[in-house]
Amino acid sequence: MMTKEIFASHVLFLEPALYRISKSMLYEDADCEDAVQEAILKGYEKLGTLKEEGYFNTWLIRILMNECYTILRKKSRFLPFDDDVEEMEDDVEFQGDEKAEMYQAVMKLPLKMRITIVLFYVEGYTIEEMVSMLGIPAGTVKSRLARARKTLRKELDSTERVEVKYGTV
Amino acid sequence: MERSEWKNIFEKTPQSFHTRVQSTLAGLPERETISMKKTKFTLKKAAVFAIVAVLAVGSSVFAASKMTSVVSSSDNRNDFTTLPSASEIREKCGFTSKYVTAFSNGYTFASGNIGNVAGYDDDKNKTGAAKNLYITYKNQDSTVELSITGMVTEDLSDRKETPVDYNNLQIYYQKQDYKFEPADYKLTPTDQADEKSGKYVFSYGSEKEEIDNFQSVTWIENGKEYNLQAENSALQKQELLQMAQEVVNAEEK
Repeated sequence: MMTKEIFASHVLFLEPALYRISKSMLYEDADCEDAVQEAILKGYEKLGTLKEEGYFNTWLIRILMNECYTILRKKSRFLPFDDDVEEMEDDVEFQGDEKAEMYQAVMKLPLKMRITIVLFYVEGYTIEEMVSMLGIPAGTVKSRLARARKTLRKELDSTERVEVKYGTV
Repeated sequence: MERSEWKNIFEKTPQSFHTRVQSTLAGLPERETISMKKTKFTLKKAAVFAIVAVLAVGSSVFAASKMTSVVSSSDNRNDFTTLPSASEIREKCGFTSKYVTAFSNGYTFASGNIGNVAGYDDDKNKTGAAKNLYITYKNQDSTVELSITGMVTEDLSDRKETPVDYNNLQIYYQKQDYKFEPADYKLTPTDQADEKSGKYVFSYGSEKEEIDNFQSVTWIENGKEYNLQAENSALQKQELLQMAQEVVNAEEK
């Protein structure tokens, strides 16, 4: 069974990703800290459900996302996880000019598209890994990515063509 | 935009997030505790040292090794209630160290443990690992704990306290109130303000909320980190410093 030290080292390695993913879902740092604390505790308690150490990252991120959804439900910002995409409330407080245009555009995306963009482009997970993390079919992942790219294109300056290695925004 | 640039659209992980991760990890029980006893999380004494070390390292970077995280673990099977021989301790720890069987103010050996400490840098590469010797001393109902780590995990010169010079060593005294909360406790706005002001350092894993005062004296000698810690103790700063000096004066064995 995985030791505490190895578990901790995996968590520390994943820490920046845990922050980015929780931030993309919750916005407020205090909520992100609550979510990651709960995810670490639940992950440690449920280590027996991790079949192979190689799947640690996707496994823990899935636990983290569930904790984020729990917080969102409590805060009544949770949107039903269906294909009818709705805009998030436009009450996100940005840090002004300091935030990159792309960050603002990503954070304005509806929750489902936002998570998909962050997992794919920011964290670099494959479609197959995202199927496991999100619990949705590959086709749905791909269509959400496509819709997210289209939405980002509208948000960003249309005169500036931004190319992404795995697609074009 | 290149794939590598996407990560940069997010701000860097805030220190508060890092601290929460660190303190949550530090409060985790050992795997043996979970598999054998299947009890709720409880905060072992050894974890307290880990929390203190973790939170100290979290706020500074030790330039030499770039160690920014410390993970501590211990194994119940390495507990001892009689002080092993010097050679046995040396063999298990892999280093010589200084310690006493009793202090002049009445604190005497009660128990001990040998655990592990690992350090990581910002890229989560392991930068070092060593054994950690814990010795608990008691004087009636009062305890003091000596921790000797086989590597340096903190650049003490980053501390804001002025050290006491003794025998060409700098001994740092620190006093801090800690609030230990249950594992699933969420900080209130008042808690967040207290944490930010330094009134309390928060950590998780206790069965109920506890406020504990910790005093410690820390020094580095011969590549090892010594820490003498008293919890909710009537000992004064000068008494702890005197005890530290007795350890410094002990034979390295």
